[in-house]
Amino acid sequence: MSSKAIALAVFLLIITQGYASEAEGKAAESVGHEGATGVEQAEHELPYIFPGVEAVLGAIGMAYFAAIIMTLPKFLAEEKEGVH
Amino acid sequence: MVVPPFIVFFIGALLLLFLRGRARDILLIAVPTIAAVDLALARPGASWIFKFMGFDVVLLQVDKLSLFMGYIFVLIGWLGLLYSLKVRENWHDVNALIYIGSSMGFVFAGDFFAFVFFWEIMAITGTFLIMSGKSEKAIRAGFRYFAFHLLGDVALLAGLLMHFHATGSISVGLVQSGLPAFLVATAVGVNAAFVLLHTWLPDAYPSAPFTASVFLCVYTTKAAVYAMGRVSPGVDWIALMGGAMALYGVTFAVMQNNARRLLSYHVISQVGYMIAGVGMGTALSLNGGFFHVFNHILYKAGLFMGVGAVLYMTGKEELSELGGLARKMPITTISTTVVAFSISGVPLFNGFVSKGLVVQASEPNFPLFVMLELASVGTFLSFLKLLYFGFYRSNSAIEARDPPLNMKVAMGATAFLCFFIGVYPDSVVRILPYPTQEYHFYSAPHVLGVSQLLGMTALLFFLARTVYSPHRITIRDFDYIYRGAANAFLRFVEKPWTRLHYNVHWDYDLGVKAVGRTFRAAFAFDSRVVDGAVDGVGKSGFVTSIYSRAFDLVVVDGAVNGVGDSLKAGARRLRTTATGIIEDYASAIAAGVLLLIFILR
Repeated sequence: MSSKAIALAVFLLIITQGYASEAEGKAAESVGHEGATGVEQAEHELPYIFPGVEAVLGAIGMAYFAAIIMTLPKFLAEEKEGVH
Repeated sequence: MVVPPFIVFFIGALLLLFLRGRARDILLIAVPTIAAVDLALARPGASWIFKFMGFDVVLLQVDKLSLFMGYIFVLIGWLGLLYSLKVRENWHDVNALIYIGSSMGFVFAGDFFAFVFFWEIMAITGTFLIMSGKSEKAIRAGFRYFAFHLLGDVALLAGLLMHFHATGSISVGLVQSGLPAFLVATAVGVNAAFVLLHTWLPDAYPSAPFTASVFLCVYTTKAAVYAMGRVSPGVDWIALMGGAMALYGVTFAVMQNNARRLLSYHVISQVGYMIAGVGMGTALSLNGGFFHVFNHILYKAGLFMGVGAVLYMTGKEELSELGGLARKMPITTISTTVVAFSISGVPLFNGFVSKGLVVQASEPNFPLFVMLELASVGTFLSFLKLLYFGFYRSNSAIEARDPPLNMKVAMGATAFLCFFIGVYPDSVVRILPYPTQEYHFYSAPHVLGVSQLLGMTALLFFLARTVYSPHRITIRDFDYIYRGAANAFLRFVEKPWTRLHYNVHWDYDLGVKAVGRTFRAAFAFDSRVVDGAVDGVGKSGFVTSIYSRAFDLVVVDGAVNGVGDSLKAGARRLRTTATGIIEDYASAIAAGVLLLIFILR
């Protein structure tokens, strides 16, 4: 088996794992003005993360950045380097 | 007894004016070393109070948060000065010492008087550091940097005065809710590079000399995060602003070709994580945010050191012109790879542990969580791009070798610390400023989740790297709009003004010309009006006219001519002070400030 096939197998193994998200370390006291965004929910158990969710998020992120790179420079490019 | 650490840096800067050669090198290393020893002796509760204009100005107020910031500030100050040791620019070094010192003064300030004072010194010396490049580009960027910070300063002063009016307190702490808190948060947001207030950062940092960029990337934005933690933590809109900064920064970073501009946009993005942590306001998020400050200072300084070394040795910093450095600059490549993995949050490196805390704290807030996760993808993508196109792809045309020993030691030490904290996070956890619980950084879920996210990013980058390859363009940001608006405003102001004073040039010559014209007019008045009047009186009485004329010639003319001559001489001397050398102006300002402090106290 080639090294590329092994790498692909390991990668697939990683991205198909689901897991229970941690709720550890979340109990916290409010420090600031409004209380904190996470304080009220802090003690709640977080949901099970389904297999490959983070990998899918990574793929969505890469698609987003590819779209940005392919479109925005057409509108935002200066004529030459070093204008600043 | 503990001395406020800023005093060590300020005295060092003063001594540096008189030293050259090896003595200068020793002083540059000795100053942060002495400050580190001073800080090691400091304990929470220590203070130093200075009487000024009837106020008790608290120049040193030690607690866990200020100590935490002081440790990392002095550590990176030491490494940054070591890195820039062979670049013998005295003006740069003096400013660097005052800049570091004022940042130290800022984090240990116990009241808003000292807080604002050091904030201003940071802005001024930061400007001079940028301008120390002495190119037109650097000087223009410096002025824009200063203009932005002046706007922030006005908001800061207004907010703090309202706070003082409402509470009667000038102690550093939570600012009165409502408009005062909003104004102060906005002012701090200028320094933290909130979205829309951020354009000074990617403009200024790549324009400064490469050694100055190492200092600049550390102090201003991180002092702002510290300030936000002090004056306005736990505010929802600030947490969301942090998420927006994280995503906005990487969105612009992935489009950059200039390596230092790419890193500058990543300062905005990474500071976004810290601001999100502070904005969420829980002990977990605050500890995560400040842990990220600590780690970010290390890896961002390391990245600017690595890219600066490339610029120093090759004269290039555009990714489209680089490549092939892995073989020719191996130590620079290894240290830059380590710090790039650190900022990307790869397991075993320090960014993984602190970013994990912030992201974990954000999980209950779904929009914030998604923004931070997407920013993680963009961060890894940016640094895969930097490493691959800058260092690892083949390019036989490039000529390079590793930089001098002092730079290699500074880069190596920074990279080592990033790795050390990654595998032994408790070394920093034990000094975190807020109450801690037992954190499990390397739990299976966390490692697995990050591996999935970063693994997919790496896979897609290598499958489609032509899509992400750098292009030789500069990307406009909001500064394009600001500059257009500023130019329109200037044209509006200039035209009526120019019509009114069509032949006037506003320079120092004007002052001399104006003095000359005034006294020519005075002489004319004297000879035509005064003399005429005196002569007229003389015609009415011979004796009277003799005495009057004598009085006119001796007293009036003498007084007018004497004053005129002395003013002309003064004006000539004043003209010679217009040297056009920024160091002379800065010295004059510093002397004036010291004189003012001496008189007012």
